[in-house]
Amino acid sequence: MVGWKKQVRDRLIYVFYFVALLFLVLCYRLVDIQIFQHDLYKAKAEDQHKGTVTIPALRGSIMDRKYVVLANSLALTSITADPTMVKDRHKTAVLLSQILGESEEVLESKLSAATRFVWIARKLDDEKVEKIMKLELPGIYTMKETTGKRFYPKGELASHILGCTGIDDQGLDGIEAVMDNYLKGKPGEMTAEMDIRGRLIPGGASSIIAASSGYNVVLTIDESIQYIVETALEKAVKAYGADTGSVLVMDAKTGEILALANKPDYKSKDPKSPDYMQLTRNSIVTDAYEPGSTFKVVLAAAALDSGKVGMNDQIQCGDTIQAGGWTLHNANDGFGGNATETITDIIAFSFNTGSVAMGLRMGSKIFYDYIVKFGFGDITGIELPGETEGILPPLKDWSEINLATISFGQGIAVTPLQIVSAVQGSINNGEQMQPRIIRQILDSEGNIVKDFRPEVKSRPISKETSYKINMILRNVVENGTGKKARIPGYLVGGKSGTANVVENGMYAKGKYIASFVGFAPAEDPKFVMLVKIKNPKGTIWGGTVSGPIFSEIGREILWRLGIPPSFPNEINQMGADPSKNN
Amino acid sequence: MKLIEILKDRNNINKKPLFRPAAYRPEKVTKISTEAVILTSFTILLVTLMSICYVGICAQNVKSQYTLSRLKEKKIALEKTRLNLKLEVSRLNSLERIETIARRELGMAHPPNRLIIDMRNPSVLRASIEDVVAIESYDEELTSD
Repeated sequence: MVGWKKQVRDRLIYVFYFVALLFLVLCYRLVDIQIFQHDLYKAKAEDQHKGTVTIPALRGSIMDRKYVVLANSLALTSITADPTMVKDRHKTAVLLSQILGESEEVLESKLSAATRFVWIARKLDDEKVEKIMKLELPGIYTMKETTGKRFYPKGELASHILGCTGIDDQGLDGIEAVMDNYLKGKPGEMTAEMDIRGRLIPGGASSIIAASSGYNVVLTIDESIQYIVETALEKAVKAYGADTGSVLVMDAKTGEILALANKPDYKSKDPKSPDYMQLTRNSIVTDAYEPGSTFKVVLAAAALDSGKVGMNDQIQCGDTIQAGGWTLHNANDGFGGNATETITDIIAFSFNTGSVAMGLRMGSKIFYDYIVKFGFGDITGIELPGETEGILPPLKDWSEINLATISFGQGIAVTPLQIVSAVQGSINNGEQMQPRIIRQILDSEGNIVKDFRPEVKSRPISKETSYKINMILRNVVENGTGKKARIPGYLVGGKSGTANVVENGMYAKGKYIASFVGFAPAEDPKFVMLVKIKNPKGTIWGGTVSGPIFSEIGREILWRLGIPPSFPNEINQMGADPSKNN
Repeated sequence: MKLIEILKDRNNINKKPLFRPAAYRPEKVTKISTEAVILTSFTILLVTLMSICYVGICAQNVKSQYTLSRLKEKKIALEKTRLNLKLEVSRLNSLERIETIARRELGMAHPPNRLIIDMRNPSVLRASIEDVVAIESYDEELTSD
């Protein structure tokens, strides 16, 4: 009896120890899992029930100076496919083709790819996405893109300024490229607990890295003025059968660009056409040309400011002049060998010989220094891509003939922006403003992040000289070669220019650039404008071709800006019919 | 051997009863006060109510979370609509579009003449007012026709 009891007790003790050991092992395992390997198992668990969703960040808008939207992005969805899951490739391709408008062959080849992921269509509008998803095609999926799709609600307007973006909404050209760091948003990420279908579990643990939308960029251009400029320029290029045309309008006091246009526009052209790449160039800043007589504004400013020429000085202005062993002529001869003129008339009638005489009187060093002071030979620093500095021969290479030809705008290459900036400096009390096209940067809530204020870039000439230049240029329009640039009711100043087109390092025969640079109203200039027409047919002169375009655009701009005319009766008598001008 | 005998033997050996029969035990009288009953009942009731409330709040919370989730989705959709509409407004306000409609559909054209009224010059002002009056009378004639 006692032995049996002992046996039972011993067994019970063994069982107890065994169970206790088992319990200890379990305790150890529990501690090991819960404490020592906590992070590992936590991560494994989270992997199973947590998912990551990318929060799209939209690119900022581009607006004009009155906050009119010129470019904007929208978040859209793309269609993707897993070719291995597609059951009937041909049928799927046919159905998709009906909605997407893409050829069945292309879609079928995409669906036949030896991969598990192909793009069917990127960034589709919601309506099409909905139609495709209703078809419930196996292997066809939607994907929310982290970036939006760019839209330009004004069509081709200001296309050379705005530029373009790529499929991933990245800036490729124009303001889109230059301001890409400000415009592009930063996509966010949300990690949260999800159910088996990938839906968020409300109340589940989640962590969010917020998406930050891109900043909005406010330009200095005015949509209305830009439209006036583009409409008039397009009409003029067609009317003159010209190769290209460019117009730049700058605020005369601040240096802000009010409008900038090049025609023909590339956006309406076929990207495969041979001249497409050339048309994408914003020739206002990227292409240098010989300015011709418009450069005489710089010559006159330098001659007067240096004191080498006075307003009443009589300067040799015959039919020809000798310089560096060469005989130089006026555009039209017939003034006689010993004629003399004042600086006012030399500029008004654009005498090359008189200009050469002024240049020779100043000398290379003085003239060169003024050219540099006006910013030629260097980029202006405007916020547009591909700006060139033009061609200014170094002073050591200047011979007498260089000095003579540069005096009437040959042997030097400038950009339209440089010449407009120089004229702005000449008529704005000698204060040349930094050319700008960006006005403000705003955050997505509309708060100002950065405000660009007008700043004086240089003071190349004195206030007195500036006043004299203003008077000289008024005379060009009142009595000289710029008569066709007159705007009824307003005082206008300006200078015409006709230059040869340079092709492959040579002057192209019979090809000219007709330009006119001017400002209005002359008493208190509001804008400076350059009109440049390349290779017009019929007539070639800057005053005749570009002058009327300046007048037409200038009149509309003044009306749009609400500038009252100095001579209202002139408008009442002449009306607004350009044919009645002059 | 009967169990009672065995017990007797054991009693004899140890001189100590192995256990005391119930008849010898002192009677235990458990007296539960009314207050304790009320307190216990109240506690049970309170715990029950709190549990029900907690479950209700949790359910409400989950419901709110679902509502919040739906509203968030709605907000995103509305924001997208707002951006779409903003773009549409900008497109509809395009000057090119307005001019095309004005010219082609409405047959409008730029005015051939513009009349400037110089407010600083009384004589011109008088003449201008006469012009305006003349234009207005002409308009009235047209309307009356």
